[in-house]
Amino acid sequence: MNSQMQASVPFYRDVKKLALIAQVVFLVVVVLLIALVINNINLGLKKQNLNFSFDFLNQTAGFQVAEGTAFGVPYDSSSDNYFKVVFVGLYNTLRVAVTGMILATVLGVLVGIGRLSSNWLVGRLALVYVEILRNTPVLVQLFVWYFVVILGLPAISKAQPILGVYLSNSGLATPWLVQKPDMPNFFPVTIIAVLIGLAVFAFFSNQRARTGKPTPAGWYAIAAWLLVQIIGFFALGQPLEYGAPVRGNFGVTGGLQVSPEFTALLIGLVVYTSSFIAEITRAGIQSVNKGQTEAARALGLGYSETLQLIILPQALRVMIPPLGNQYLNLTKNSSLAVAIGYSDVLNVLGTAGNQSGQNLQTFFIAGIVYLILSFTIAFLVNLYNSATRLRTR
Amino acid sequence: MTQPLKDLSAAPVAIQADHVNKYYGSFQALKDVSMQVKQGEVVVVIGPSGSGKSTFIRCINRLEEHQTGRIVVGGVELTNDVRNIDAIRKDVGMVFQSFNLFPHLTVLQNITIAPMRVKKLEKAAAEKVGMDLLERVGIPEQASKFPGQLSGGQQQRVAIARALAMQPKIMLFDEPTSALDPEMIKEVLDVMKELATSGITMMCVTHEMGFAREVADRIIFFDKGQVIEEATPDDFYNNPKTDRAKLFLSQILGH
Ligand SMILES: Nc1ncnc2c1ncn2[C@@H]1O[C@H](COP(=O)(O)OP(=O)(O)OP(=O)(O)O)[C@@H](O)[C@H]1O
Ligand SMILES: [Mg+2]
Repeated sequence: MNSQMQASVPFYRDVKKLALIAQVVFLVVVVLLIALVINNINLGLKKQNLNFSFDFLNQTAGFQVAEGTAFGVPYDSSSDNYFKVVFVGLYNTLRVAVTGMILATVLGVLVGIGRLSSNWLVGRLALVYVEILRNTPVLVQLFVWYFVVILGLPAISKAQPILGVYLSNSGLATPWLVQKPDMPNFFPVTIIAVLIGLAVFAFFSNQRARTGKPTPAGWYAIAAWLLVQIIGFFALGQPLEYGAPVRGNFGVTGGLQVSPEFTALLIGLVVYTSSFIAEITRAGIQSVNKGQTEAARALGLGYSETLQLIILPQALRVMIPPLGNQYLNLTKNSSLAVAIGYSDVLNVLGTAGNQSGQNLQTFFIAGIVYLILSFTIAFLVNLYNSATRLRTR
Repeated sequence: MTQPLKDLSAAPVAIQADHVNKYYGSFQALKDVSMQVKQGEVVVVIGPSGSGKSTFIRCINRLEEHQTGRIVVGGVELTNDVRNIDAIRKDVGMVFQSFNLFPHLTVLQNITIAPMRVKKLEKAAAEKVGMDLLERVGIPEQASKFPGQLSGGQQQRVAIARALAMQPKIMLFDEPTSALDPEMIKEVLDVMKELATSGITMMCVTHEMGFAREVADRIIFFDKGQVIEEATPDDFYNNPKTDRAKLFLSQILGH
């Protein structure tokens, strides 16, 4: 009887068949569009007598890049190829994006908490901060940071060092552990150490979620990270040494040097993104039931303990997905580097494209690079999200 | 059928309220409330919805602020002095209608967090206290679960254990069984009855008449923000003096 009833429905009223038809139609349209695009590209390439090949990546790049190292390996424009220069750009993008995400999160969370402060002045200041930064274009903010603030600093010849740190219109120079030139590259050790630290953190927080045994996962992670760094340092024959900046006739040498472009881009991205993260934090905190605060206060926990131990850990769960979006935005916004002359991956690829005449390929690579970065961020955010999900029945 | 009355005449005062007034904006939720609770006394607060029972009980540990009048808890007056507020909160435990357990912490962590953070107890010592309390409320096997994995009755028992972990002298209950399914009410009331006989001072907002008759020393009846009647449970339920109390009882006892 059931099958009879189904058979009596004409196909244009059958939900299942309608859904199937819609999908087929959609697929056909997508395939046609893709074919059209590929065909157009091919025609265009033929007309201009170009072929879509990546062979040029093996040729010597031959152009200078400010801040030219890739993951600890220096870049030499006279001998290194395009392939390598892409990695220089990628490294610069990662540098600003990863540092930016961390700092923007810290700043944004603080401002978000400030927004909810019962202190009228703090709340107002945070509100003004958020509204100004959120409602002006990030490019304008970058220009202000670069041309007005950073380039407005005193020249290096006039800069006064504070605790060995020079801050001038040619950037920041600070004492640091620097790579010895003829020793093995220490950078991979740092990466491995960070990854191991993260893995240890994931393992112990997962175990804590499974068994409910409280483990100081954060401390274990820091210990693991430090341990790997130290082991690596001695295993590679101590490839780092202490270096302090020294002022010479042509600026400073030695120590860790941070360019004005990097500084402006970092500050610009951090401050801009922090205004969004502040709003996410505020919404996250407000999403936690008021009864949680009351229970904590009734137990005698203070304001900051309540916030830190009870409210923020719960707010974070709501905040993670929108935070992930902000991380994606920050990474993509870092391509505005080109406006102030920072050698990020898009900037470097643009130069490479112009110089080699292979613009289509370089933009294609840029697209792929940003896609990979975005997918990686999304993947990590999802991983964290599922690792910290609430256990309920 | 009632228990012999405790002799509380010589007991020191645990909670003293004098002419307390409380406003939400222009709405007056408490009107000239005065009362006294002796140490070791078990007081049940009842009254119609919106009569100010929660408001009053929440004023006692400063979850709400009263505007005029005096509230003295354990000899300390509730003022804006944070030292006084902290001192009172240390001595006063509270159990809420909606449990308010911390969902991201395990049952044991829910109980140990305050002793560790506020009383600076060592973790091992705090966990010992926590396990003893879970034993006392009858669910030691749930220690490493998360609140969301427990039934309502179990959650409320954890909440009681959590409050007791601070070794309060006074326990406040705001309708602790109102959010529970009928079959779970008894397990929570049993814990509360056991607590009532332990000598702790208790102030409970609850409409559980059986509980009130069995363990309460006194019933305080609220209506429209005022204390209308105070009496022993037997007197109150058998011959209420005021018309409002009569009306209220006829409504909750089912006509
Ligand atoms: N935060 C608030 N803002 C404004 N009015 C409030 C607030 N909290 C309570 N009230 C009002 O104060 C009065 C007393 O509320 P309260 O919660 O103390 O009543 P109750 O006796 O506990 O009632 P119930 O049995 O429903 O819990 C009610 O009229 C209520 O609407
Ligand atoms: Mg109430």
